[in-house]
Amino acid sequence: MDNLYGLTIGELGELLRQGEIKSVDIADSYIKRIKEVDTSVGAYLQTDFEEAMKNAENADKIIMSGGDIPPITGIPLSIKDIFLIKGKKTTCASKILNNFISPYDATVVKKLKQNNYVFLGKTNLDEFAMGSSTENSAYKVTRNPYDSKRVPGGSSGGSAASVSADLCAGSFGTDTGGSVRQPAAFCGVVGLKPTYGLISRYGIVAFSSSLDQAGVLAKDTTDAAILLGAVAGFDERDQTTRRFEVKNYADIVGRANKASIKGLRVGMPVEFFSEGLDPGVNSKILEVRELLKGLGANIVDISLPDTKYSVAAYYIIATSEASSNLERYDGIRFGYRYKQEQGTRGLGLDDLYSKSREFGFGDEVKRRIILGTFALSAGYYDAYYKKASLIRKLIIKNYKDAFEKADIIIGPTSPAPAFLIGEKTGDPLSMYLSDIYTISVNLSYLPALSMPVGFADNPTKPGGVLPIGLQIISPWLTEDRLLSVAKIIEGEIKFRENNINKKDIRYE
Amino acid sequence: MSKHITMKKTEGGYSMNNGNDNADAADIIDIGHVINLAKLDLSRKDLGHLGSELNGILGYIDIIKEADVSKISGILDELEYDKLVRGVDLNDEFFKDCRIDECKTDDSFDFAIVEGNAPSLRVRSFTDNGSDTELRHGFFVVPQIIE
Amino acid sequence: MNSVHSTDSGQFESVIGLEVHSQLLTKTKMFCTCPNIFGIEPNSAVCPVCLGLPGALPVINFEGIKLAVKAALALNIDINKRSVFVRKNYFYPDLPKGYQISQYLEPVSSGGYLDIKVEGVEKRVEINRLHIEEDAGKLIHVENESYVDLNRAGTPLIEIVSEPNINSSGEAVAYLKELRNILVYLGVSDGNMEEGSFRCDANVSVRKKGDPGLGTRTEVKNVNSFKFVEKAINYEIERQIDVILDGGKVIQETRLYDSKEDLTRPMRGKEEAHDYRYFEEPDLPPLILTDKFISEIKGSITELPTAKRERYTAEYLLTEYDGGVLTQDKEIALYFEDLIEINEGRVEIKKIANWVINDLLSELKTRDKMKVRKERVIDLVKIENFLGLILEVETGNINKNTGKTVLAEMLLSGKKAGEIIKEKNLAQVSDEKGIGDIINHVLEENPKELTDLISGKDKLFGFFVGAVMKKTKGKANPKKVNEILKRSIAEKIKGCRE
Repeated sequence: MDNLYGLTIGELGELLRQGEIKSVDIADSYIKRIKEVDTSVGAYLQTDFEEAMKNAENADKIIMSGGDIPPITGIPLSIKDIFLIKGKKTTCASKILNNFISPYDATVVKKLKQNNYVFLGKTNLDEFAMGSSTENSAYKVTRNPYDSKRVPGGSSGGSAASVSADLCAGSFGTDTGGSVRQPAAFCGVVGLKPTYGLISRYGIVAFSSSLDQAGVLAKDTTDAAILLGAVAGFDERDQTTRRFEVKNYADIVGRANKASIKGLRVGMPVEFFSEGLDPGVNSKILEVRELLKGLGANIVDISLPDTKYSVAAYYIIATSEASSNLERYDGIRFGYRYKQEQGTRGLGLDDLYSKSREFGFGDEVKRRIILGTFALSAGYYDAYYKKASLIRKLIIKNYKDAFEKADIIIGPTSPAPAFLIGEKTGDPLSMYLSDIYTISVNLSYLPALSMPVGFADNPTKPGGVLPIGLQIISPWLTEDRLLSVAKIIEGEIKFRENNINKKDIRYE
Repeated sequence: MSKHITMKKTEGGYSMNNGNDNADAADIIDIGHVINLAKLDLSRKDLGHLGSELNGILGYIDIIKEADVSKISGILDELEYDKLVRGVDLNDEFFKDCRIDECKTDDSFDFAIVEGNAPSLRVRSFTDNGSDTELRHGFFVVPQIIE
Repeated sequence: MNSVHSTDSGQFESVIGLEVHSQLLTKTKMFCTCPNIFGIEPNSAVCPVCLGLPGALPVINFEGIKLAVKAALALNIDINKRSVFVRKNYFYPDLPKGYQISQYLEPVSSGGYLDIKVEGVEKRVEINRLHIEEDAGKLIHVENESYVDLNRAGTPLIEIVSEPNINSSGEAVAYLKELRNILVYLGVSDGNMEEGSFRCDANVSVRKKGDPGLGTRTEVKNVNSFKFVEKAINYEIERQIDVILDGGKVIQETRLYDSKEDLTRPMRGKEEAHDYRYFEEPDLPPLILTDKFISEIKGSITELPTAKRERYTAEYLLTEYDGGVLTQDKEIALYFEDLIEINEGRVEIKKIANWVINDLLSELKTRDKMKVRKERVIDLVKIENFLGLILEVETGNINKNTGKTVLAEMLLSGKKAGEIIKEKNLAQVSDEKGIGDIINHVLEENPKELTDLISGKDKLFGFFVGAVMKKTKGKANPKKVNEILKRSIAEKIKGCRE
C-alpha cells in the first residue's frame, strides 16, 4: 500500500488489526521514506533498518496470534537520542558520549519493547537537551520540514521533524523547559508533556532532574494519547514518579464530546499576550478563543504575575541541577577520555577531568555548567539558587490560584514561528527567551501540550507557511481533560485534513 | 546592571578582564574559581566570547532580585507543596514508595557493555606474592591521585 | 615532648569533637538493589545506579531509614519528621556520580546525647546530629596509577557528629566504645573498625584553661582502632600545645595518623577547602516520617548496654566492673542471660558470671589471638554444655583446674563436659581414705620439709599440697586435700610433742 507513512498510529493500528496490512509493510514504507527524505531533513542520528524489520516481523507474528493487541504493536517510532536502549549508542548529540553504548534499557524503552513497537532510530537533539533549536548538536543540523533554512525547534528537534516529515509514526522526546512543545509548534505536530512524575525518567539521561519529563510527539491528539498510555505509570526505579491511576487516554480522547466545552472555564493569562508576541501567532490563538466561545466556553482573564521571573528562575535551577548531573562525565568509567600526545608527560587526574570535559562538551553545555556551578557556589547560593527555588514556589502558587478560576489555560506555545538557522546562535539570551511561555509549566510540574492551529506566512519563502502552535495547560494529573479539549479543538480546526498536501517537502 | 566578570589568575592561568575597571567590588565574580570547581579547561577562544555572554545572561537573571518571597511560608506550606507536586504527604505511608531491602537485579543490565565503554580497565588482581589472577570484572584505572 | 614546656602545658585544656561513620547492616545498598557485601571481587556488586551511569536514579532503601531512626532513638536524638537528602558535589574517582547523596541542613535527626563513664566519673556528651548518606567506592594506589572499585559505592552510612564537649582521649575512647556497642546491640552495625564499617575522625583543638572561645582545630583521620584513637588524640594535643608555646599558630588542616611512628602529619595533595555546592536532591522526595513509624521503631529497641549493666548490678548483685565486662559484647550478654535461664537457680549467679568472665572470655581471647575464624560463642560451646561444665565443678566432680582443661577440650572437640571427664578419667579423687593414703606417702617421702614445716615454715604447706596434686595427676579435690593435710600435719605435730 502506498504512502502508509502518511497515516497516523490510530489509522495504521486499525488497518493492522483488520488484517489489511502487515507491520512489515509499514516498516518498509517508513524505511523507504527515511532513505529518500532524511538526507534533507537530518532528523536521525542513527537508524537500524535491520532491527526495524525484525521488530516488524515479530509484531506480525503476535498480531496473527490474535487476542488483545496493544495499540503500538507493529508501529514504527523514533526515539530522541537521550533515552538509553541497551546495546545501542546513546550520544545525547555530544562528543563526550560519541562511543557510549547503553548497558541497560530505559523504563520507557522496556515498556515499548513489551508492547512490541518497531524501532526506527534515534533522533537528533540539542546536546544534552540544552537548547531550543537543535543547533547545539555536535553531529548535524536538523531542518524544519516546512523550510529547510529554519530550525525545527529544540531540544527535541529531531523527534518533531521526524513526525512532521512522516519519517516515523510517532516519537518520544524530553521536555525540560518546552523541548517537546516548542519543536512540536515549529514543526506543526502535537507535542505533549505530562505532569512531572507521570512517566519514568529511569534510563533517560538527566539534564535537570526536577524539570525533565519524557514527552510524546505525534501527528494528532489520538496518537498522542496512545503513546502516552503506552509508557505512563509508577516506576519503582524512579522515586519521583507518582502513584496514580493510569487512564486509557486513547479511549477517553475517542469519547471526547463537544458538549463538554459548554461551561468550560478557559483561562488566558495576560502575561502570555504581551509585547514580543508575533501578531500572526496572536491572531491564530484568538481564533481558537472564538471557537471555544462558540462552543459555550467561558473565557476568563487570569494573571500569572510571577511568570515574569520564570526564564530567570529556570536558567538558575536547570543549570544548577545540570552542573551536578553532568559531573559524572569525567572520562573515567565511560565516554570520551582525553589522550595525551605520544611522548609528552603523563596526564594527571585533574587534567584528565578538565581536558576530557573541555573537548567533550560543546559551548552551550559549558555555558550552562558554569552558570549552574556559579549559582550553587558558596556566597552565591542564597541569592541565586535558593531565591530561584522560592520564586518557583510563587509561580506554582500562581497556577494553583489560576486553576481555581479556570479549568484549562490556553496561549501561544512560542512567541513566534520557527526562526532561521543561525539567527539566534550568537545570542544565547534571546534563545532562552523564546521559551517564555513553556518554561513556567515545567517549573510548576504541570501537564501541557502544543497543537498546530494554523499558519503564519513565511517571510523568507514566498508562498511558504510556518505552523503556529497553541499551548494548552491543565491542572496536575488531568491529562484526560487536556487531551479531550485538544481533541475537540482539533476536530473543529481540522489542521491535518486541510494541510495534507502541504506535507510534500521539497528542498532547494 | 551588568556583572563585571573577571577571570582571576588560578593555576590554570586565566587572567581576563571584561569591561570597566571601575566596577563595584560586589559585582566582580571570580569565574576562574567556578571553572575550577566545574573541572573545565577553557581555551583562550572560549574565554573570549564566554565573558560577554555570561555578562548578558547574569544581567538578565538579576531580575529575580525584585521578586518578593517574604510571604512564602505563609503562602504554601512545605507539606502542601510536597503533596501537590510530588504526591507525598505526612499522613501517607511514605514507605510504600521506598523499596524493600531485597536484592534485585535489573535483568536488562549487562556489565560486559560497561567494560566495553571503559577507557581503561585492569583485569588482573593485586596480590603480595605476585600470583595475580584474572578478575571477573576488573578495576577502572585512573592516573595516580596523590594522597 | 619538649621538657621545657611540660609545666606550661598544664595551663591548656583540649576540646574534642568526634565524627563517626558507621555502615548499616542492610542487605542492599542505600539507593539501589545491589548487595551490601564486603570483600568480594572488584566491581561485582554494581549496577547503573551505583556506577553513576547516565540515566540512573536513586531509590531509598526503607531498611536503611529504619536502622538510622533506631540508632537515633537509642542515642536520644530528636527525630525530624521531615528531612531531605542533598547532593554534596565534588570530583573524585571513587565518587561515580560526581556527588554524594547525603543530608545537610535538614537531617533525619538532630540534638541528642550519650552518657559515658570515665574512671568512675559520669559525663554527658551531647550529639549534634545523626544523618544518612551513601559511602564512596574504594581506591587502590599502585605506582603511578590508581584503581577504582565501586562495590562499596552507594552502601548505607550513618554519620554521627558529637558536639565538641569531649575533653580528653580517655573520654573520646569511652564515648566511641559505648557508641559502637549501642550500634552493635541494635543490629544497626557490626562495628568492625579494621574492616572500616565503623570509622572515626577526631576534631582536636586546645585552648588555655578558662578561655571561653575555641582554638583552631585540626581533623585527625586514619585511626582504625580505639588504641590508635587514644594515641592520635594525645599526640595531636601535645603537638598543638607545643606549637602555641613556641609562639606559632595552629593551622586548620586535615592530618593523618601514622600508627607506625605514632604521629600525625598533614594530608598532602588534597585540594583546598571544597565548595560542595549542597542542594536538595531532586531525584528523591523529602523523607516524611509518621509518629506511628517512629513509635514502632522505638518499640523494637531491646534492652541497651547501660540498662543491662544497671540490671545486672541491681538484680544479680554483680559489681559494676563485672557488669561492664559482660555487656561489652551483646553476644556475651545474651549468652550469660540464657545461662541464667537454664540454670534455674542451681548455681549462684555470681559464680556463673565469674565462669563467663574469667574462663570463657579468656579462652575466647586466646582463640582470637590464634586467629581462629570468627565464630559465635554459641556455636563454640552450647549453653547447656557450658552450664554442664559449671555444674561438674560446683558439685565437686572435678576441681577448678581440671575444669579449665575440660573447657579447652570442649572448645576443640565440641564434646560435652561429662563425656570428656569420663573418657579421660578426670573425675576428682575425693574419697578420704584414698587422699589420706597419698598424703601419708607424701609426708613420709619428704621428711626434711616436714620438719621445717613443723618448726614454723608455714609456706611449705603449699609444697605438700602441690606434691599431693602431682601424685594424683591433679585430680584430687583440693578442698579435701587441704582438710586432710591439715589434719595429718596436726597429728604429726601432736605426735612430735608426745
